[in-house]
Amino acid sequence: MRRWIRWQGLVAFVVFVASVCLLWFVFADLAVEKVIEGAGTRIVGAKVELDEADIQLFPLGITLRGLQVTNPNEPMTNAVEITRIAGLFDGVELLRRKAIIEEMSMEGVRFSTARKSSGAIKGRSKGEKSEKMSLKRILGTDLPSFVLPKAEEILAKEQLQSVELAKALPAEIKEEQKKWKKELAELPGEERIEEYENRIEKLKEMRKTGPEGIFRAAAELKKLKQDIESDLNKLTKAEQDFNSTMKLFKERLAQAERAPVDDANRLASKYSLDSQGLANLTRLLFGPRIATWLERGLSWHERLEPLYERVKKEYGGDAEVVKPLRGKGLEVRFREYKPLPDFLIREVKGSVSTRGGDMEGRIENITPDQDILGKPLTFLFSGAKLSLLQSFRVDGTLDHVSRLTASDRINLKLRGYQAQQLTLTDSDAFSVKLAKGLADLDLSSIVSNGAIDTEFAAVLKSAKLEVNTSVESGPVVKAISSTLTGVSSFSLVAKVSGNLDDYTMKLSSDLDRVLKDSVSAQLKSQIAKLEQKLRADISERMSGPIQQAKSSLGDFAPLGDELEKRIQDFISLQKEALFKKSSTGLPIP
Amino acid sequence: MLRALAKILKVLNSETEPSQISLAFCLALITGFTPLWNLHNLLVVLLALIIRVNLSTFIVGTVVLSGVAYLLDPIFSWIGLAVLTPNPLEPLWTALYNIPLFRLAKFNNSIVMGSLLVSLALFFPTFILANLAIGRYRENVLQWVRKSRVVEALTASRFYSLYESVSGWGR
Repeated sequence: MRRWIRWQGLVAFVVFVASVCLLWFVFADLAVEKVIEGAGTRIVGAKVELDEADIQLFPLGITLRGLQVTNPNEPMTNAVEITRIAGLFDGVELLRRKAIIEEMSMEGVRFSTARKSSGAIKGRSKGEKSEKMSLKRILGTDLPSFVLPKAEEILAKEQLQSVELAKALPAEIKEEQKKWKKELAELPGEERIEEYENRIEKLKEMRKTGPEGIFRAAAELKKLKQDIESDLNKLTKAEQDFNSTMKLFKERLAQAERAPVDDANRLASKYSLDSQGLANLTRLLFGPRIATWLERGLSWHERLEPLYERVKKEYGGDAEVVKPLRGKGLEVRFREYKPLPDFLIREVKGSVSTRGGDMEGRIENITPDQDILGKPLTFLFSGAKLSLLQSFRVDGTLDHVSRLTASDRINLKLRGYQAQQLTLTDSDAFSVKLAKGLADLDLSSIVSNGAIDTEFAAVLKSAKLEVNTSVESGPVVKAISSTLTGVSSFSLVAKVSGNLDDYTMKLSSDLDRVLKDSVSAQLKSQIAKLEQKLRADISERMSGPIQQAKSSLGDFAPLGDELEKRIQDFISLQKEALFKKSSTGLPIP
Repeated sequence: MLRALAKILKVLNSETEPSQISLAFCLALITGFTPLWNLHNLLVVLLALIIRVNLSTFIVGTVVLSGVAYLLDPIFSWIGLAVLTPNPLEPLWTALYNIPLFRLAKFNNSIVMGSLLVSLALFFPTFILANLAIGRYRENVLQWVRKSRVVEALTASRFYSLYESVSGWGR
């Protein structure tokens, strides 16, 4: 036994364990710092940096200093910066590999602080491109340019079908004329009338030969009558067809004559704001900014999901398989006699510094295993009588206790916010900035079962709007600019609803009517001028073809007269020659 | 400095019986295949230090088998899940899951469980095979290796003569 046992090994083992513990003491802080930075960077999609992590043993706790979380949309800005975070672990639960922090404190929380270096990481720049792509989908329309193009530019772009049809009309009439000339030649005419008159004379002669002749004449007369009627029907039908054709050509000619007015109206409406657009100008003015805020809010909601919901797969029974936030393999979690989440911060208290002042708040139950804890994540931040704010309150719940009824809510109430230099809209034609104003904002939003329902209302008082327009901007933009500059108060309501990947926004404001009236007046005179010019240009293009069509129609009409004349001749023939009766009652020619 | 290094090497290579080398390799199978920083590996290291096994084989074996383990991780994970998830064993695992020591040992991790089972299953077969292989090597190959130029150059060096001078220390 002694031959197989090396008792010095025990000393070596103790030295080895002591070395490992020493290394841990020396490098644990650095390891924790790297773990937090790595996990945070993966979740946020931009650099998360920590100045220092400090683990204390007695009592067991952790202190983090200088946390900076980069805004993925603005790599030179931090979304949030926290000076100090400190918390104590439950040592007993740590043996069960559960990181439970009863209370954590945060000091010096600030938003949108400048960074010294870019916090972007490779391959994760979604940024503004995807925001712009989604604006059209959310607002349901492209933004108009507010500048009316010239008539020549419009006509160069547009292919006017009416002009094409008018140009084709004279040729069609001529073609039809040829066809009808041919048909007239084949229809019964003078020759046939002469033929019938000869037959009538023969019948008269036949009648004179005696009773037999009279009977033969009667039979012949019946046949003659049928022939005349048949020819008359042919002529009548031909006349009906001719009249239909004539009517059609006349309608088309009338349409061609109206076309300049119709086309001018249509084109003028197409290239300017229609009544629907005029009725909702605020949607076009402020919608992009609100849509951008909404998209950013939702993207953060998605990024932070690992903190309040864990991806799990159930295998039946009480066992479930989860992917650890970090690490290899899969962890199978069995029923615990005393269930607790693997990671839980029961309460975080902190003060948040904003431009408006400092606010106090708390977040409760931060854990990706809400189903085990049985409680949702809640947060509340509030402040009153701050330097730039009368009062502020934001509260909400991220309830994922049951996956089937998961819902996330946020409510925000802001009163008396002294807004300054806030850009409301920034397009090619002009930009609108709220130079100063007193704002009351209300936001209520719920995300549940993959759908979003949000209502945002803003009331601005004592507002001073600054509008910058480009040099080339037209009178419409100038009208909007002068209207907005004169506005000192307005309200805005935005409603968002739909599925998270396909929602729409409806925006309305009491500015709509004011803007519509002002812009309509400007637009009206501009549109009238444009319409007049379009009408003149289109009329000029159409006048040649219309004259030709009229001339062709003038040549076409006499064919109808000829038809009418032939019909009248046959009717006369029918009346006078065939329907005299003798004293015997027999029809006689 | 060289003398100190020679002494360390002597300690590491002091146990040269085939069974001592084989046992070292089998212990390295456990530390190499399973994730290194696991509780059970403390026990394995303790055994490697207390039992007279060849330490250099243990260290080298751990390093080499750790590299092999990266390639075999998907298989270990599959085996681990297959063992951890069926219902008949659930009461056993549930009981172990609620014991802090086993939680610390991360037995419920698919790779830990799978790699541990594989290394334990291969322990005795590896021991027997390694013994046979070492015996054959010493009979047939060792002479040829000793005559090779690399080994001759090594044995002619100053460091080797120092190593020889401290040989017998620790026996």
